[in-house]
Amino acid sequence: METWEFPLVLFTVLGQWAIGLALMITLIEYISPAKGNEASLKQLRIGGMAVLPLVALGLIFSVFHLGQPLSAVKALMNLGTSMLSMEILFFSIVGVLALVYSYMWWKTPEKPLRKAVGAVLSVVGLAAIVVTSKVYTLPARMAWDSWQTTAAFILTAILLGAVSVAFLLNKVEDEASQKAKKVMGWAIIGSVVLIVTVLALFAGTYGASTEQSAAVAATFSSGFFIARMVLGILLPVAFAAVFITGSKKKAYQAVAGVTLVGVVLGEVAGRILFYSSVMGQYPWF
Amino acid sequence: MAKVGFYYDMQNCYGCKTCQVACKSEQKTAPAVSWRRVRDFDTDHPASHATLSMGCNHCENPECLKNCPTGAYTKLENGIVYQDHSQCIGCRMCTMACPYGVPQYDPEEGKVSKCSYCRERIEQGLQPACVESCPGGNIVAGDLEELKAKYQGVQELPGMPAAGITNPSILINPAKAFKK
Repeated sequence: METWEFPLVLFTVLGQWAIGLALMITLIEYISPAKGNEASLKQLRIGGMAVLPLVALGLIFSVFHLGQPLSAVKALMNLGTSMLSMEILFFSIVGVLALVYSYMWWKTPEKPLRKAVGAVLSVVGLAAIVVTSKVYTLPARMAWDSWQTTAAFILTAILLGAVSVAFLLNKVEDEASQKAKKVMGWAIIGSVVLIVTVLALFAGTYGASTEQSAAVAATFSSGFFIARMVLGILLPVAFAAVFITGSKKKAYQAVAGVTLVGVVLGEVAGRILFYSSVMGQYPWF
Repeated sequence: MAKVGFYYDMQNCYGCKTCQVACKSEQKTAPAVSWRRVRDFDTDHPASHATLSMGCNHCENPECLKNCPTGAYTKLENGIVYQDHSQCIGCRMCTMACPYGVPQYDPEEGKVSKCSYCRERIEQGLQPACVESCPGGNIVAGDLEELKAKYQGVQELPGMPAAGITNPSILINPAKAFKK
């Protein structure tokens, strides 16, 4: 079997990125509103409009995981017990909310109702991420069957959302944006610390079973792990430090862009490891 | 109503794989798919060689059925875990969820399939092809409760998935190396 599961890697990372982006924009709108600052609003608008394409791309990629892509709609037929059916339902709702949210940013960015839609999208989106993680909590697959899967997926959303908003607001220098960037900086640091903690706890499960040991060994011995550490952990920490400690709270725009791309690639590398460390062992018995 | 199961005499099985070939011949499965597989089951201490023949265990709590997003799997009244192949969309959830690796994906067809306990043969009063073909009579099909009353056996051996996950309808007479 294909061990990278690349369509699923892209679906989960892009979907979680979109939800994290909506969550962080909404958070900023509530705790540090732009209050008529056109530059800040213009930047956040780009992020708000990007939510829909990210969700849409993720959903399109997910279909290519199927052996029968044209029958994808049948995946909704077992909502009673199948978490995969629930995941498709939740992401369909996220897709509709993302359509409304991005449309409001595009056509009516001045309307305050957008904040409420963003809040609903964030809550439903986080629930969708939890449901996604439950798809993989299979008793037969010990490496996935853990709260760590849920934590890792939510942390991906927070990290990608926070880095994206920090990138968008990088050039804006009003007081509200400075405060917003500092909040994003702490969100980045917090999520990175928790990601490292989850990885350390995963490493600690070595020896729990033959399959688990193989999954841990495959994860930490892979070149993807080094890529994830550098791009997904060290790079965003350095980026966040600029906003937390720097007096101007601003990075070179090119550096901010490279950081965003790097973090996305780092998360993709991490997700490849998530799938390949387990699927690479097929047949498990 | 009786629930079907398999009794398998691992101690007497010498790994000829006739069951595997008979299954493939009967079901005409794709080259990449074997509904019944004979695995080597060796131990170092003591040094021993054994084989384990396994199709679907038609579990009491099948993970394939629970996780399939299209509802393609049904637990029939007679205990057979049956896949409606026309409903499969090739998502491979059942493949990931089954502890025993029973549902298998055929990349050519883009679908998963699995052992049906030779449902069509059973309905004609015949035995599953693997049972009928075994030269040693080491695979026995029948009502699981009757099999339990007639034979001594276990659901799980060292190196096998925990039986507690799905409660497989299987009774194994372990090879000597696994007997205490």
